[in-house]
Amino acid sequence: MDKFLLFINTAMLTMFVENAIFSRALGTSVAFYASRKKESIIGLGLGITYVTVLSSFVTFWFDAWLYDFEYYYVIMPLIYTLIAAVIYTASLLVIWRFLPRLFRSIKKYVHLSVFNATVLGALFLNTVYHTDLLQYIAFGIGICAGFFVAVFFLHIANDRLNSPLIPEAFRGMPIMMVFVGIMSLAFYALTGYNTGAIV
Amino acid sequence: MATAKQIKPKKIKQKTDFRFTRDLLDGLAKQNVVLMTGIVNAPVIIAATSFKKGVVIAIAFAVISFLTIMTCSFVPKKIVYALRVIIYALVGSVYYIPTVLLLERVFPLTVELIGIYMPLMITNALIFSKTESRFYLESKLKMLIDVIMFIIGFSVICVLTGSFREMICFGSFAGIKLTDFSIPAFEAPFGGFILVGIMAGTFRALYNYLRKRRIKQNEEIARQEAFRKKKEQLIKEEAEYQQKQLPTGEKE
Repeated sequence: MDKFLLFINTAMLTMFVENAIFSRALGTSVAFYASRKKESIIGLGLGITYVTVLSSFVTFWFDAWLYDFEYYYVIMPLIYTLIAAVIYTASLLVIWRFLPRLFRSIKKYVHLSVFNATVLGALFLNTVYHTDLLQYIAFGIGICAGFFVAVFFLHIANDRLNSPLIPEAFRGMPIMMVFVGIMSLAFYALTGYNTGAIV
Repeated sequence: MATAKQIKPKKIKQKTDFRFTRDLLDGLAKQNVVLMTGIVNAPVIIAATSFKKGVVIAIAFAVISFLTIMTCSFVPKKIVYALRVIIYALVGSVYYIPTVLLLERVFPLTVELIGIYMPLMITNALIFSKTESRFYLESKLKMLIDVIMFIIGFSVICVLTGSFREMICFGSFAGIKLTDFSIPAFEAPFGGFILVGIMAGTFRALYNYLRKRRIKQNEEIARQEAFRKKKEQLIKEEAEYQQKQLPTGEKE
């Protein structure tokens, strides 16, 4: 029971304190792209969750094995990329073999859910913060849930942020950035920080 | 019996179709990866909180992106894109190793402070998206210049953002104290988002203004040119008419 609570706690904390977009800006461009369509949010969200959780599981064993190696931090990106690449290739082969229609529809964009800052960022942060397998997986789930929540917020605000009320130069990406900044400030306050303005 | 020798076709040197056109400067302004397209922004928003960090990020980004894009341009296009991206990512992470080791020797503390945003540069959109949509469709020389322009575009904005944030957060520039005014909280991610958003909006407004002004100027030049041509034609026609009229007048 304790382990389950710790799992939930880690996932929830990651979702709000270490939010992929609002706190870490991991995969911001992918989030902006995904927020345009509801289908993209679900598709990319699921893809990122799948790869991150599986990769977190595998990287745990590599971290346990190689953590004492002096230059591990230098070869870490190569190892993590290899792990993500193997998972990606294996999954693509399975989809291509058994779900050819799905393969045709996702093959152009599927790489976005694998080789992006959210997946690799989650793996790097996992190595920095956590020590046991359950926390690795909980962190992976938390990061993806946080990404999903952030993209959902962006999707809701998308129409208003692109309305004619916004000055032409700020429409699109710039106002989206400012919006994310304000949301980030809200999350910052939610987790108990203050800007120093209120003593 | 004479053996049939296969004659190898001579390699014909093809002339490059390279021309220095305005679109080569796209990476600097029109398609700046931070302010215009926003495809590479995590290191700028989170990690570039001082001038020095901005410089280190810019160097790392330049080395990793340039070498990876150039190397991967030799990857055969026969391999499907879904698999080619794996090669791009692996090549990027290989180039990351010497880059980070070298930077660590020169800026040990700064590299440590940048943290995970240093290795994240191997997954930047310049390598994964722009290569397929732009760089690899160009000739090698054009691609070389184009990539350099995109990298310069990123680097300038990264260093600028770092400098602005250092001034806002600590009232200093490159470690030199300039003013007592400071908002330390602006170092947090929200500061980066808001600053980059405002910079992007201002940059776009300025770019649109200059573009509209250029269009207006071009229209004015075209109008004047048309007017001049029309005037010339009228003078010519008038002269021709007078020439035609003259002999008839003489006859009379």
